[in-house]
Amino acid sequence: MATLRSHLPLAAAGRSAPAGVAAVLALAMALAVTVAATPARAADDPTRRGFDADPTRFALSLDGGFSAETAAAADPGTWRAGALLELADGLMVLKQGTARDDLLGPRLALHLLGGWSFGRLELSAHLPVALWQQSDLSLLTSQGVTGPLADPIAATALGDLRLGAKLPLLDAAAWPVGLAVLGDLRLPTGDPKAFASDGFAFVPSLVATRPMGRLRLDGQLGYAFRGAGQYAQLVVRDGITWVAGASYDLPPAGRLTRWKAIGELAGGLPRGFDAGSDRTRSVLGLRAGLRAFLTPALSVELGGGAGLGETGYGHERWRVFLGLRFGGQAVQLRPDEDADHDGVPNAQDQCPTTPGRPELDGCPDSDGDEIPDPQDKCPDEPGPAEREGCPAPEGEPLVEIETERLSLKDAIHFDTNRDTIKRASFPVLDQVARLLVAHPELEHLRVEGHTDSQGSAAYNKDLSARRAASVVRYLVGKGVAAGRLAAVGYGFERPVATNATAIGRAKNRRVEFTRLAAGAPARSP
Amino acid sequence: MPRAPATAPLAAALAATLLGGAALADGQLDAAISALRGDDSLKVRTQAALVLGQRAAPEAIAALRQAVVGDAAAAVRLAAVTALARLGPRAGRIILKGAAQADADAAVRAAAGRAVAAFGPVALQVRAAPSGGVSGPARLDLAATLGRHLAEAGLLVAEPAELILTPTAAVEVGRADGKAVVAVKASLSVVDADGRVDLLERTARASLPGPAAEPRLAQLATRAADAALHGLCEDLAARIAGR
Repeated sequence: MATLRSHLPLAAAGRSAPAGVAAVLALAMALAVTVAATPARAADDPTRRGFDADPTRFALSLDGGFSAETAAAADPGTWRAGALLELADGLMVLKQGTARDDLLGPRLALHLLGGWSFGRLELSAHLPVALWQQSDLSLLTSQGVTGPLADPIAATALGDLRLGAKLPLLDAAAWPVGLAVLGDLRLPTGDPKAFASDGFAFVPSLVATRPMGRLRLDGQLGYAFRGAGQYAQLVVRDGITWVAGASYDLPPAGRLTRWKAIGELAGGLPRGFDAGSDRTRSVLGLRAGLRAFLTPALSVELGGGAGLGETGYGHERWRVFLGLRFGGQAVQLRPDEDADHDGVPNAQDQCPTTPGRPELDGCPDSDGDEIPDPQDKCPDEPGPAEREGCPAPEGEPLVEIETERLSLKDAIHFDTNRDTIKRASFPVLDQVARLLVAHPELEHLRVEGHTDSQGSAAYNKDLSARRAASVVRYLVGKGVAAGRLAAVGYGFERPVATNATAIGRAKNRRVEFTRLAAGAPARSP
Repeated sequence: MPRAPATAPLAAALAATLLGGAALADGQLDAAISALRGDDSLKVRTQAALVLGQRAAPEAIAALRQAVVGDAAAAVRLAAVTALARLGPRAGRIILKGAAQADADAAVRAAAGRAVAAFGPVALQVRAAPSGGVSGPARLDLAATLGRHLAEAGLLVAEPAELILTPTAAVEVGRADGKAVVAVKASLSVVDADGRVDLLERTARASLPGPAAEPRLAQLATRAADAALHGLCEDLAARIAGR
């Protein structure tokens, strides 16, 4: 480890330290970043302080990780508030030769977080408060140092208020990655002498997110514009900041239906950083933990972390944190606006804060079964409207007996806006043909095509007639007597449910087989 | 549609109903039906639905169904729901069940749900297929077996039935790996009061090690048919619950 030199700025500055002590002090003093190899500059002021002992920050994003931001803005109208308690040790370390002493730490801090999303913009605020911090200047005072350098460090201090504004640029649903710009403005409300303030600072950054099923990867790269702070040799100044994080939605366990594991690596590199010098320090630390949703609006989180590398500024010894976040949706949406930008005005949008398809009343359909998610009892598995969007159950296993099952209504599907039967429906229709042959009591049948009321009456009638004719053609090709079947297209003339809702329309799109009045049960074999 | 010609006969029809249920002339019934289908005034359409409900005229079923499903005014749909409920489950069950699930108005959904609940269980009737419905080397009384499984599944067999059930079965006998195997493909045609057809099918395979002697094959066929029809009853119960 480097030792101190007599020309160190402490001696040069020597504001209240007696001249005789300066050299001793110079030998005695170093922060975790021990000693500068470069000569002191005129601007140096080892007693200035003016930086926060903990360079990392909790994320401002409503749906972010612990320190990792995420690109997507939360649903418009969403607000969230959080309170976290964090205990961190080894935030700053004094070193003399082989002697090391924690200058600052442990520190118990309260973090108050709040945010609100409206339109595309997400606004947020963060106020850290050092409720209690332990400082130890004995390594200095035992050497006789007095004056500003050895001024006591307040045990309780307000931190810098942060205000954030995030604007998504790319939506991860449509692009390989989601991108957003985040502006993080830090106001000098904190106590610079208690290592609780960086002064006025602005940190613009670019946030990238890639969702991969249950996993979400978040990355952030920014630059912290700020004035320099200094204590003894350590200079803290403007530079790059970055975070890489991953969160994983854990499978439901017991009462926990929604919870996730979060892991993050955060770092920073000051301008002019020189790995061979200890005048500036990089920042590098890990955080990991769990966030569990007790209700859709209330989550609790617990985590810990540690700096990587030699303990000191930017590389805390360890940290643990525990917090609650509470959030909900603002209710007042303007009826004529379109909060989720899906083309369906709020007044008509059954899912006003989630983008969805206009034909599904603005609701999403995760499993693509044409039943909007809120009405779909099985939103992740496709299923027919008759079963409220749930798939047909598996056959009940019998010890010596195998079962297969078919139901006519389960599915005859057509290509969109065409009369061609989807290949997947062929096996069903093959079975239907066989069953019609096996059921001669259904002497004459009308094969009816029905649609919902989207589009013109003439178009739908023609389409449904052609679709019914396709089914008849197929069945005749599979051996059903042509004289038994008549194809009719009704368009949307005979709905079985309202066309005003998406689930009603899904019920209306159907093929029906109707026994004709003339087709009373046959008497002959 | 001009309002006066539609409302005058309707008022007469309403008066006739209130005066003690004297039979309406066909013309008056037609007037109420056409008022329900096309009058511009929602009050007139609502009254028409109420009148048709009180008359419980089967001729009005189609117009009432159309009103439940398609009328823009919730008041009219509500009146039509009440009217269809009076016409009974054969006329109203499917439409009312649809309205209970999908109508945009909460009051209509609730009224339709109450009407469906008041209908009680779906009444079923088993009708044997011509020639018994069994193809293949086995003698099975499908109608009787089905009746037994319907009762076990708690389904109601009664008249007048909403659904007519006809079972058939195709029996195949074979041998595999030293086992006698009988496969029974059982199917059910389900026809509702409107003639709408649904088809259900289950296949059951019963096997026993040893030679395929005649009594043993008959036992396997009975067992397989029993399992297949049991499964069909489950499917039917699920279908009825989801209808």
